[in-house]
Amino acid sequence: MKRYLLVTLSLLLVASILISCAPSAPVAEPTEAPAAEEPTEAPAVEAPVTLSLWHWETPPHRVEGLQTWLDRYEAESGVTVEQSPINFPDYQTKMLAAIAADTLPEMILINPPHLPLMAAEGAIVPIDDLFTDLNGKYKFFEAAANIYNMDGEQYGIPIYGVYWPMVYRPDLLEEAGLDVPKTWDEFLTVTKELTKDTDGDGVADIYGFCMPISANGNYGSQMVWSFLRSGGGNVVEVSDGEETIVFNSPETIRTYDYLAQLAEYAPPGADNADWGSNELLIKAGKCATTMFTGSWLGELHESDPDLAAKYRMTDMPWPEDGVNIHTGYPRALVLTKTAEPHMAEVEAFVRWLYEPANHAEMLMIEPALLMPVDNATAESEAFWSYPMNNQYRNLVEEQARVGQTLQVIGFTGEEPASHASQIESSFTLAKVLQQIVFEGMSPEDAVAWGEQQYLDIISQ
Amino acid sequence: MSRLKPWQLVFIYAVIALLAIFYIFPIYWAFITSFKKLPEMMASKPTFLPNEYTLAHYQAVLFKSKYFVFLKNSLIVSGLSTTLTLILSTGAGYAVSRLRFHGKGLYSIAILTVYLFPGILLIIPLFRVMAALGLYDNIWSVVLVHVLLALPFSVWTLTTFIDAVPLELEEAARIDGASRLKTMWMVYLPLIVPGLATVAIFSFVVSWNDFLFPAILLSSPKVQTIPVGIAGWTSTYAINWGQVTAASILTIIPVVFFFALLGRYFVHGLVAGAVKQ
Amino acid sequence: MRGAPIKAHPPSALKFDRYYRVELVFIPYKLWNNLMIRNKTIFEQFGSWIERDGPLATILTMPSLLWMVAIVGYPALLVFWMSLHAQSTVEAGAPFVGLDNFIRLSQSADFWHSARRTVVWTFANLIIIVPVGVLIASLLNLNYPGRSIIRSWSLLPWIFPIVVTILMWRWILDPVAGVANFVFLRLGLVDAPVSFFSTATLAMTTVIFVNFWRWAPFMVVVTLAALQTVPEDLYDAAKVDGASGLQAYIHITLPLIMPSVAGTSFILAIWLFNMFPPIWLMTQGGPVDATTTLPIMIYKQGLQLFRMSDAATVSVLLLIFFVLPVSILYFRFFGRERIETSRG
Repeated sequence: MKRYLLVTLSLLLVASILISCAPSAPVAEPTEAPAAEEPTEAPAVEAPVTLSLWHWETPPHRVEGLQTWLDRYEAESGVTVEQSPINFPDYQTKMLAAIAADTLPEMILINPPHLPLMAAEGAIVPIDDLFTDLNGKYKFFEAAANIYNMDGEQYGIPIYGVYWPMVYRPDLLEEAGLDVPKTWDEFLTVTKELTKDTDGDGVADIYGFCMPISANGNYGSQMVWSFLRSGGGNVVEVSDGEETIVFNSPETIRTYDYLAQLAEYAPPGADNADWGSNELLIKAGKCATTMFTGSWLGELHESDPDLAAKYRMTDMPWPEDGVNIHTGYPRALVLTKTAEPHMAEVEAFVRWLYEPANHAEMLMIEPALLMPVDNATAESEAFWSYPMNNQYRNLVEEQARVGQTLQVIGFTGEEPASHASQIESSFTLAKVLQQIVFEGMSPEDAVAWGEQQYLDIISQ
Repeated sequence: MSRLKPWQLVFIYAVIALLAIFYIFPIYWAFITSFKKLPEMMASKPTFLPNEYTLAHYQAVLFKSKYFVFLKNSLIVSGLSTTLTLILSTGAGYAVSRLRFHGKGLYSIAILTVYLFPGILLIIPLFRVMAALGLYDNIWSVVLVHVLLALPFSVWTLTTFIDAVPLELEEAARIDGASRLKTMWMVYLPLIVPGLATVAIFSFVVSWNDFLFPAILLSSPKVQTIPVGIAGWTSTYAINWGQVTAASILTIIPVVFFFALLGRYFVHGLVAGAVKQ
Repeated sequence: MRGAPIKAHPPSALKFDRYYRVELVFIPYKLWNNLMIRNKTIFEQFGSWIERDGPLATILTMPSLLWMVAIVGYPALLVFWMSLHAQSTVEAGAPFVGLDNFIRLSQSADFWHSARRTVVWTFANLIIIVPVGVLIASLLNLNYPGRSIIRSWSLLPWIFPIVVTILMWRWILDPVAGVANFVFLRLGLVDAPVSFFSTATLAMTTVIFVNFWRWAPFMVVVTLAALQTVPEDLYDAAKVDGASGLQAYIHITLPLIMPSVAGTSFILAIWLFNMFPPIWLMTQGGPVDATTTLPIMIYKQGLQLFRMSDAATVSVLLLIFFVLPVSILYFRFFGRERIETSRG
């Protein structure tokens, strides 16, 4: 009798523990269950619908800003959109893992190199109709929209752009009696002259060009790309769907030769520099020039507005016989297979997102970093009503100009290179520079080495 | 132990002082950095005591970021894996120590071979397995792995402790008519409390600190644990040393507290294992 | 009540019998108690069956065994399977290629470089951690006031999450604003700020140094434990014989703790071969692969380039060339005792 009770009670205890454990262990499948109950027409759904959005804007204030914005949508529409800020270095890995495990979110923000990879996996759905509709209303920048058009289908809707013009201090240039550098020669002179030790402790405090020589993330490679492209070189060209590596060329060797000269004035830590570390240099006022976004503005405006006011933006230099090009990434919103069961909710959110007032609010989670990619928002009252955009007009306008024509690795032709993603994430451009600067390889040998790396990649 | 001459004492204390600096300085440095304002943090001449204090970094970490989510997840994962480890290893320890069964030797070896397989080797197929089980991006996948990481050491430790309980006690209980389970419950459990504490602490710490498995088996931030969460703030995209150090300090405090309370059991357990060799 | 003859009552929801209170609920119980097999109820049968060593042991060990099979055994088999097939990205179903992967990888310079770095990493770590750990432990074991407090706190740094340790050190070693460079410059040790991750040698040295910071306490605590087992009388006897402290240390203490230290070193070696988080979090294997050991290579191949088969092949090679030899050595020297001391 007692034993029986004991057994029953213990079974009940175990069961209740398991049951109480289950809800507290969050299950990640966001919307499968509610999706099944979704009615066809009525917007008011019985089970609350939760959509999931991936992005990589992880700094806490940006997360907070997005959350406020998404909360407003929830209050207006009753649909919850959950944001997942994911670390950029892990982003691609996690996307691929989610494809394998079938746990993709409905909406993902991607960079151009992600496109061929995601489309090849069949994870994202073409959205031609939605895009045409929105394009008619808001007129996206053509270059940005074309990047996300593959095999005649539109996969991504440009959502914002992050551009990499030259960020510089005109006050330091003036002090040294120098003009804004436009050619490579002028730029080298500026770098040399403006790298100086201002407080006499034997260590330079200002660097003429805060240059990354690092394969830690894509910053170093994108910097090389900017010079490579303006010098006439390229990595890969696509014709008839065939990729050809064109890296090893006299133009490329000339570019690296030039970069090696610049590298003599690079700040310490250049070997491991990334976007984050260079941003700190800018905020600390240690850079006379650098290739960068406007991400530093928000915090610098709070902590040191005088320094913030001293920065301007303009084009990166190009050689006399080269081309003035711009670099940066337009980012796009893509919809995945997971979105299909409840396309109505997803489309409703997307339409809401792209209304200029709402779009501008999203962009302002980080002023001067997230730039408009459509004419409607760029010219809207809403966007220009924000004081930050007015106070730092030069930064915003220069970036808007730069963003009209962008050169992206692997996307320089009509169609994207199918290995664009692997090419970009190999960071080979930076590694070649590292071979020259740190390992003492000659530019010719290093470029040949780089070419071999690229050939290995596309052969896989 | 012989008494030491004064010069020897001085030497020992000097060494200890150097070691103390060596180990305390990094923590101290992170501590004061977390209260510094950005310009002071990045100045060419670092200050050893902040000129200005700010709580902005802590505020950002605690209120704007997902820190509390990470904390909650870490607690759940560590708690669950500790509980499961305790349950499994107690039984297994008793079996290895006091029971005779075929394949006991094999079982002992098998348990130890777990430590031979590095996480990095298992992580790729494990990812496939978890995905197939539908456990990807679910904290239970991490719990399952953490239990496994803690099991060998726990079984081993508890075996040692159970060995130390005199056989006579169990025999006496058996004579009195108690069943096996009853003897386990009434005789052994009270006597191996230090062993249980060791196991609890070990599995909790292993789970709390683990980076590799949550990083790969978990994807969305809402299920992510602290180590991965903190690592996330040092992405190549943006890094704020103030926030990173603030988060680090916040994460260390419970560890120190925990260690102050229960550290001796942990060391004891480690000792028991090492001495056994 | 046990063994009493059954009363032939039909179950009735309305009737409350003196002997059987709430009859409906206890019908199964009645069945249990009255269905006799070999003079015992089912419940008793189960009870006495589980008393036996065999079944009880099975029940107690089965969960952990199943666990291991699921989480270690099956994945380990999968790794071998993947190394024999050509698998890219994460799709299932891949062609069998036999030993192709192995042949290709063992001819790749990258693999051998990573293998070399793994050896360098492991042995450099051991050479620093073990002697220093033993020395410090020996010092801490002497008889000075405050000894127990010092010893009880000595493990703490090892218990910090690895991420925190690495981040704290990365901040200190920051080339532009880190305090390490400031101190070096002030002390005149260097002329210009050092970038600790710029050259291959420097990067590896830095990572080894930080890893030493983390693991030395572990070595110290384990050695302290071994030191506890050395009986006091030996020292007294040595003193009587006129031996100095140092002589006693070299000829008595060291030999006695050597098995323990050696055993721990073996295990540490295996852990070092396989170590991933410290290196990854500090340098991601850079600069230009200078700190890419085999585990880093496995991660990059498998989870960045998604060349699953290559990653699996390198894993198998790591297992065969490094982990297995050391494990076999370990079991030969130290395994016997432990298995024999468990009863059976």
